[in-house]
Amino acid sequence: MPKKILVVDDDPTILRLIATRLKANNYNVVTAPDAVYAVKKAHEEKPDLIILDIKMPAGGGMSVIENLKMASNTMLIPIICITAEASPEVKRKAIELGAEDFLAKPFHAEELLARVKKALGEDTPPKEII
Amino acid sequence: MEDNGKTREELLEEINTLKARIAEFESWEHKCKASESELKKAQEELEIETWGLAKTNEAIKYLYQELDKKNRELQTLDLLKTEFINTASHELRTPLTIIREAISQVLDGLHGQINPDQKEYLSLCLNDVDRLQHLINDLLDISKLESGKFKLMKERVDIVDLVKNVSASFYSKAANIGLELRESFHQSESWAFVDRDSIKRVFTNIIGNAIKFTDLGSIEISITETPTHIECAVSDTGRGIAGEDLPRLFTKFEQFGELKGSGEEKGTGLGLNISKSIIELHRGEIWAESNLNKGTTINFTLPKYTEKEIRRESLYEELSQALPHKESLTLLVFGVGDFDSFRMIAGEAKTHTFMQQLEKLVRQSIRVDIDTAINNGRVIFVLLPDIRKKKAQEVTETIHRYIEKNLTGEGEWEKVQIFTRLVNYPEDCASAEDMLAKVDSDV
Repeated sequence: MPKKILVVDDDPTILRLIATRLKANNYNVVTAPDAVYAVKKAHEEKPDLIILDIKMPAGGGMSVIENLKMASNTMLIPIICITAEASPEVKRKAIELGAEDFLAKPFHAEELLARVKKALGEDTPPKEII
Repeated sequence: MEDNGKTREELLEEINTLKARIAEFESWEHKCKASESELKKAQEELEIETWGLAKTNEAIKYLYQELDKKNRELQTLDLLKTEFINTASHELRTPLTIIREAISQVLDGLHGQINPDQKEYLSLCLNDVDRLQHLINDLLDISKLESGKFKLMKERVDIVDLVKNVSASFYSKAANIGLELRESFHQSESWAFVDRDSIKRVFTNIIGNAIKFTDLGSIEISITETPTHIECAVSDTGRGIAGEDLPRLFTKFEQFGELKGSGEEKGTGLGLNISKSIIELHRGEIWAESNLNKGTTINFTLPKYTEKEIRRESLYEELSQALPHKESLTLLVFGVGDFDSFRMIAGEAKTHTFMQQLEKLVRQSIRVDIDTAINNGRVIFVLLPDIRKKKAQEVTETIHRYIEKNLTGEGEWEKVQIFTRLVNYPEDCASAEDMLAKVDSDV
């Protein structure tokens, strides 16, 4: 069953481009243009992964991470942060809040797809049960 | 005539005496009047001076306010600089993301089939998008480096190991062009206290350049140590640089010689400039030697870091951060007399525990949130901001007494002598470097 990914970015063009790329790689995509909508969609759709632009207006990005990691039915959804400003402080804060991974813009599609695979556990062979 | 028992002569004398007295009084009165008018004059002058002082005071107050205003403007400017770098980075990288991904998707056939010509031209676009990305990254780094906002995260790094990793990534590229990539390490490990990513970048840049400008032959990376420095050199048998061009080698956007390839291959012309800034930020030196058509060698040094240098560096950081905003700062040192013998007798573990106890006692005696205590394993440093030397001396004595009273533990500790040292800015020294030099033996 194709995995569902929620993509959150305040730039509609970027949202559209990422969605197109993910769909072309057989993922189901849900989008959200702001923090409030993102949290709402996360609870409604229960995606397998969230790709989140953390530099949204009004500190939106970080609040999404905080919010979702505190709610029991969304805390286990892995979050990949993307941003144009990859400063060490921002990176560290995102990881501290619970984000799984961090990707700087502009990214190459191959890299995004590789990180998505990794976060969804699709790149590792199933663990052997001894 | 006789009456009142006084003779005529006696009366005359009395009259003369009285006359003299009157003359004295008159002269006195005259002097008083003169003094009075002098006093009045002096009083008037005083009033003028007072008025003048009041005016000066006003002017000083005004200048003070202006200074304060300028100070706040400078602080705002500084913040704006940081914000600018961050905002510019965001504003430049967002459109690039869109351009790159959109072109990439068309190239990958996500929006219909494309013919070979279209593929070729779109690929050209993609190459230069990547080139723009590198340029932006480099420019932003230069901006940070030049405004002092480039933060180094120093740690102990084995340069030999780091170089091995970097050159491994270049092996195949070199082999493809038929170049030999050699390493020459005079020791199996070489420890420096550096920002790993930055130094890695320096090596990547320099080795990359060497490969770019060498058509045949070899590239050799060597690392040697002197008592105080680690010397690194990357030599190639490439095209070399003309004597008159050499001084401009580390200048921004200078690229010498023609390069095969285009776009990404060409590079940004900023790499060496950034490398130079990074090396100099680490307090090292970088220079180049070259002969046209024979080859080029880029040399740079990194300060060799021993335990002492690490301790010195961290104390220097504290001092340079504390000093600029203070009118006075006192550095205190509390330590064990003959620490090395103590450590030899007590052993590492007990010494560590002892130092922790010493640190705790010192911390109990200083102002929380204002003063800083640093335990570097050998001594306890205390930074007392805004305290003049005399007061600091009193504080030192108080802390010393407290320590001696409360130091408990193993038998040998009770016999330990605690020494103290005090260095005050500005009375004993003029800068962080100065201050550091005065306590060098304790570091």
